[in-house]
Amino acid sequence: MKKEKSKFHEYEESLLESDRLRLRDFFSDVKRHIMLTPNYRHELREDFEKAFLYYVNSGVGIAEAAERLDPCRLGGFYSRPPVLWYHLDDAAKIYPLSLKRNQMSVFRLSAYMKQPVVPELLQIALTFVIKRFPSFATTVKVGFFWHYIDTTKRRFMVEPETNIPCRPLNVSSSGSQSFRVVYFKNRISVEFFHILTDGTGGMVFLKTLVAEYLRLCGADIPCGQGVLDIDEIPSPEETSNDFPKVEPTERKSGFMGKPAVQLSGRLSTIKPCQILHFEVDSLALRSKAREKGASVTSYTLALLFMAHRYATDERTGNVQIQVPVNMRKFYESNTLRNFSMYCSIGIPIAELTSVDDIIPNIDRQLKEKASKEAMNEMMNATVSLVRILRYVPLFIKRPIAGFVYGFLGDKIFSNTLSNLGVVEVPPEMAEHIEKFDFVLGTSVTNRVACSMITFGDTAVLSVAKYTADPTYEEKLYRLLRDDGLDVTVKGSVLYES
Amino acid sequence: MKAENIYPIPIPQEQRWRRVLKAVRWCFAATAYICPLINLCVGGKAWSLVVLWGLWSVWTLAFSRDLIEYNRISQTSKLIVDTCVMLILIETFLSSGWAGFVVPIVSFASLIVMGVLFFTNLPIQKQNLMPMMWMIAAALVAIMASLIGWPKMNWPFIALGATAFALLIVTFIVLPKELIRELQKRFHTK
Repeated sequence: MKKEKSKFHEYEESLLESDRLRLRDFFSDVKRHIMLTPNYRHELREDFEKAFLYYVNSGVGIAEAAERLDPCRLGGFYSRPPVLWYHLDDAAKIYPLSLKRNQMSVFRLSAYMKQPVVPELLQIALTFVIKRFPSFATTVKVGFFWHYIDTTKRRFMVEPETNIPCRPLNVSSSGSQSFRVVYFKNRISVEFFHILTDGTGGMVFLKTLVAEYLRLCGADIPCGQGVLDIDEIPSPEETSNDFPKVEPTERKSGFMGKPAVQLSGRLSTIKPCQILHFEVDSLALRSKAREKGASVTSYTLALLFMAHRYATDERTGNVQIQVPVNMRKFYESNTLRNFSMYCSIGIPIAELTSVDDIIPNIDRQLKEKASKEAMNEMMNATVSLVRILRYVPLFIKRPIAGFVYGFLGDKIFSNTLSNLGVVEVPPEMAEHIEKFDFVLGTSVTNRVACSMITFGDTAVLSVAKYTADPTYEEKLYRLLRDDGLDVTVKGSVLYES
Repeated sequence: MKAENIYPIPIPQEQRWRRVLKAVRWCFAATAYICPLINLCVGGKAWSLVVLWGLWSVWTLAFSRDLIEYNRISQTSKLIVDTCVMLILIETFLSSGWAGFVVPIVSFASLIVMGVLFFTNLPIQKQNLMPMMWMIAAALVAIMASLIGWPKMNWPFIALGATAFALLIVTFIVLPKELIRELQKRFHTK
């Protein structure tokens, strides 16, 4: 630290008087925008110094550097006291109730750049961007009836990735971050506590962060297609709980179900114990799905069902795969909070004969169970449950929810497939990005959790594993290859010995 | 199927700490099992209840920290409650006649410490107001109960009531808006 600081002072002293004055004006402008505790002020100043040094070493002039790092982009976020707070949306309420040591609902979105990540600029990008996402700049707190998220004004930091993906976040300390931004080689990843947002909201954050990072690198990236203008005032719709928008239904469907067939591998103590990414050409995947008369999601589900069949010793029972459904496709919503429900696609294990045989069944179930009517029934059940429990104190709700969640947990599912679909970004941004990936980090009983995302030519099917048994992914790989799809497998080492 | 590694190898220290925690958990569990067993076999006063509470307090304060709202104010209030319960258990099961005096002394001294911890770090701690308000409320309830007749009024209770009331007034004066906002946040029902 001291070495780099003196480097900056050395650099400052080497400048002409006019440039030195310009630099001093710049930093006094930075100081005006930051009214945090001395530690954070110091750290933020150091971030700007490091960014400046990076620009200098890259041949960018002072004027250009000062323009890219314009302190006005800090807005009023760091100069105003924290007054905002937010109720949890109806889906988020369960997450702090089911929170345990080593068990936290976390998911991860990553963007792979075409160049190695510059940490100094990524830090500044996050410093600028966070003001546009006020509900993300929060810490979870305990109320008398419900948890809530309270604004925290601090330096939101970017870290080098040194640990297991999707590990639990520390949300206990005052002002702790409820998300984590990490970088590794050319990858920028954001890991979110699910209390803040879902995949759709998380992707907007990642796209906006990457866009700002690219602007700091010198690219001209317009807003649009999920990239927000960070100088715009956040609208109330972006932080609203949209679950009460649901149209009333006569029936309300519940959350209970019979325990599903699990993979037979032993549950790992480290969660997840491995992450695998199956990269496939997106056009080839779509064409294969069409050839079989299915959507990409149906085809992928069929593959997962068959892989499950081979990775379990069970001969009776149902394999049930949880499929999240984005409610934004049914209701007009700009919310960046959670706004998804889920449906369950199930097939008796004895009927899992081949991919072609089960696709029509999966298609039919998806049309029926992921329909607006079915989702409305589930949403109404959620909203009703929240209304019934609203006046029950948290110290009664928490142990009961903890027990119910621990007892049932995800036992009624064998697996999850969350498909975020095709990611679109402005063309000027797309030329700097190789691909995206999406990892689910939540599991109590399930041995795998799958997720999928497509960008350009590349569809990435990610498997978060909670068992060391390799049967599942090996079968999945063979199924893809047998269907003529060229698959590249990347991922992590096995963390559990 | 070959998978190219694109993730860093994790830091070993965090995994070592997990193993240490696991070992400590087993020691605590063994002690919690053995002590009541010995107490029942040997008979006499129920000292094992005091031991069990002590184990629970040490475990929750030192090893298994709160997953939400772990800060100096919430932990001080937890420490106060745990200590008072421990003293009451000792009074009830081991030796009696002093808790009515000692517990309020410990409570008002702890309230003073809590007040110092709060007001010396106000920019951060003002969002952790509620645990201190709960302690103040509990202290005021205790002094009012003492005024009615139980427990017996004595100078420690008067000191406790006075300290709690003073802390409440100071909070009202220094943080009036924050106090209202904090109550709105903590008691919302949406």
